[in-house]
Amino acid sequence: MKKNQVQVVGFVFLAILMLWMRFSFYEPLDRSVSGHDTERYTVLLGTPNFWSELFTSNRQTTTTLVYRLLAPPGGYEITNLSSPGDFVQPPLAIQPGLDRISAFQSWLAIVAWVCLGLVVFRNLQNPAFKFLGAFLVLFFGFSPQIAQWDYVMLTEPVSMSLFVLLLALSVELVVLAARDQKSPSALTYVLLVAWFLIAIAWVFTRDTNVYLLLVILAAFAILVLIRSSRERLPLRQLLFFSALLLLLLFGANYSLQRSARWVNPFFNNFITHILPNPEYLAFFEAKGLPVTDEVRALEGTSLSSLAYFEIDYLVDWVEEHGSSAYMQFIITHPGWAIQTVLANSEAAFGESTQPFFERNPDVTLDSFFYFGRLMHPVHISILFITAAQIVLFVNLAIKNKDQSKKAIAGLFVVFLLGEIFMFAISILGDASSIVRHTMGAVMPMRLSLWLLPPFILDTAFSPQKDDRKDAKAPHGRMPKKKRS
Amino acid sequence: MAYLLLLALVYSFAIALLFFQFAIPKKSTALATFGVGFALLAIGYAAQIVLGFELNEGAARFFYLARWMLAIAWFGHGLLLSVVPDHKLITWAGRGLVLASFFGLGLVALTQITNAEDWFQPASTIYSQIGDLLATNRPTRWLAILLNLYGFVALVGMAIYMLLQRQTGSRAFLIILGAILMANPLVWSPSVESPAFYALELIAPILLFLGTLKFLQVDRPRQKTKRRRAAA
Repeated sequence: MKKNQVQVVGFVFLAILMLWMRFSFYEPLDRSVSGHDTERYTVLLGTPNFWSELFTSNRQTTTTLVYRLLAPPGGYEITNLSSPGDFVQPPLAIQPGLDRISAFQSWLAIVAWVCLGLVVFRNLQNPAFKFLGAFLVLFFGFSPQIAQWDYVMLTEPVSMSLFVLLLALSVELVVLAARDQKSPSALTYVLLVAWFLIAIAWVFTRDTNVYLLLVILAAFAILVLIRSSRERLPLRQLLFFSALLLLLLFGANYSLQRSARWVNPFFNNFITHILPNPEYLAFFEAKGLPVTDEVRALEGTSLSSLAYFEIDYLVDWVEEHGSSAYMQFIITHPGWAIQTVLANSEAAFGESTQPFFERNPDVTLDSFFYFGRLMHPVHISILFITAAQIVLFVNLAIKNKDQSKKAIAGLFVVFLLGEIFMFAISILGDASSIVRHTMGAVMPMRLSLWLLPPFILDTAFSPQKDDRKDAKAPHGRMPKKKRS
Repeated sequence: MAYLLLLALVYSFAIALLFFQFAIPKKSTALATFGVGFALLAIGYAAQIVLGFELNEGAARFFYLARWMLAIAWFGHGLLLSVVPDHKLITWAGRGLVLASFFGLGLVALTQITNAEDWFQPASTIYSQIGDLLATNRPTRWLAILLNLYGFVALVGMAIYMLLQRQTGSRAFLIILGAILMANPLVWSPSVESPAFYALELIAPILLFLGTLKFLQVDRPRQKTKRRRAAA
């Protein structure tokens, strides 16, 4: 048996071991728990205008679509409702119809994490680090802090799994791009189509996800501006792909503006940040906000009471001008924006476990949970350690002149910047449920913490590339010799 | 910030694998000795992580043996071998270290665990509790002190020697600093887990790794360039 075959068998064995862990230490896949938002995904299902309202309704598009596609003949029945804010955290139970969603979310996560594990395995050269990298990815993905979300009937689980798939495809794509340079292969096009389709689905699972695309577009622009990289890029394809991303960006923004998804978060920000501060309130008043005694009385009210929806003239103004006024407020008050992000950062990193149901310690053991918690640190220092590791990785990749590693290092930089951007927007976008809303950005930062060590050591000790032609040899293979 | 222990474990384990990978084709005892040092350190971190969850007798014994007794000694001997290779005295010292390690293994295996369920605190550092946790006898304690002294003196002594020989500059300081940071919790056992404690646990092996990298000549194998091929 060849060395490569042994390694593949080894990876399969590792994946089976981790799958056994996933199925042994968690409750059956048909169990679930619902949140207050779950009902919103099921309301639209029976209506005749489902497709016309799919992108503009007050529901996350992808999640609603998944619920529609998997809907059983009898429909969904929410029988196990959780409300962490009221300390209601029931154990998992079978909810009619939602068992399909729970199973779908679990299988999607399993496929996504195994894909990422495989991609990491493929793109490391040192056999020991291949297994170390794949193990860290799979253990991270199947730890309770991630896997337990698969049982929660909200947008987070699908969003996380799609991000993992997107990351896996991104790594493959940048390595292929570094190899093929000006003449992309057919495989590159296939992966690009897959990437774009997954990106569409991912962007429409959570509104803040779209901001990663902005950073990716900025990275493309920088690559085009730098002459040395421009000469090696397939410019026409890159511009076409950028146009598609821009289209997606505008589409997502249009969908958000047409829907009323942002109204509730606006009021959360309004009550938490604007109302208590006369200067900030004056800014909104100047924009036309009707500041009456009734509106002032909202100060200090519970965010979950939704009392503001009973003030019609306020809701009318917010629906008409609220979004643009708040954007202008952020732009004209950068100090406040930065201070708000910094003030909430520690809290955003402060929890890594889903709050919707209580773990069954007989199934998901305390020790397993403890190791999962080590992999999902609740300290903001991970941001700085991840950044330090990325700097080291970039430095080593440049020194080593390895095109594929440079591409992966660049990808890590772009994703980290994108995650920081998503993180800031999540905090500024909604003053409520900050931990849950920032999870889409914090989870990838935690993942990077463990992804980077194998890549750093692999780059530091892999054969040094001496000329650009070697960049055509990905995954440790040498280019084929031309026939004389 | 206990996750830094896990990160230290990942790095130590990976570096140990790396040293063994380089040692086998080169048949280098020095590299293999450093590999053992990092492997012992990794075992120590793993034991610390387990003990951070609950009192585990096996983990306590492994921690004492790997981290408390042997790790620094193997690092020091690795540096001796790399700076003064093929010296008869050091070869004998190496044999002595292997024997002492097995002797230590026997002693630690025979050591009784005290009735610690009542007072053991997973949230506190194991460094401050291991002395009361294991009912070590005098030979065990003296062996641990002797081995640590041997390793520490070898590390610092060799680093100073290299500095005087002007063979290296900053790397010698990295070794000295790494040795001090590794020995520090054994001497002044911290009782409270602080961010600084975790950060130093991660930094110590990295400093030693960076410091010894050049001495051990663990260079990246370069692919042959056209020019080099033509020259050959």
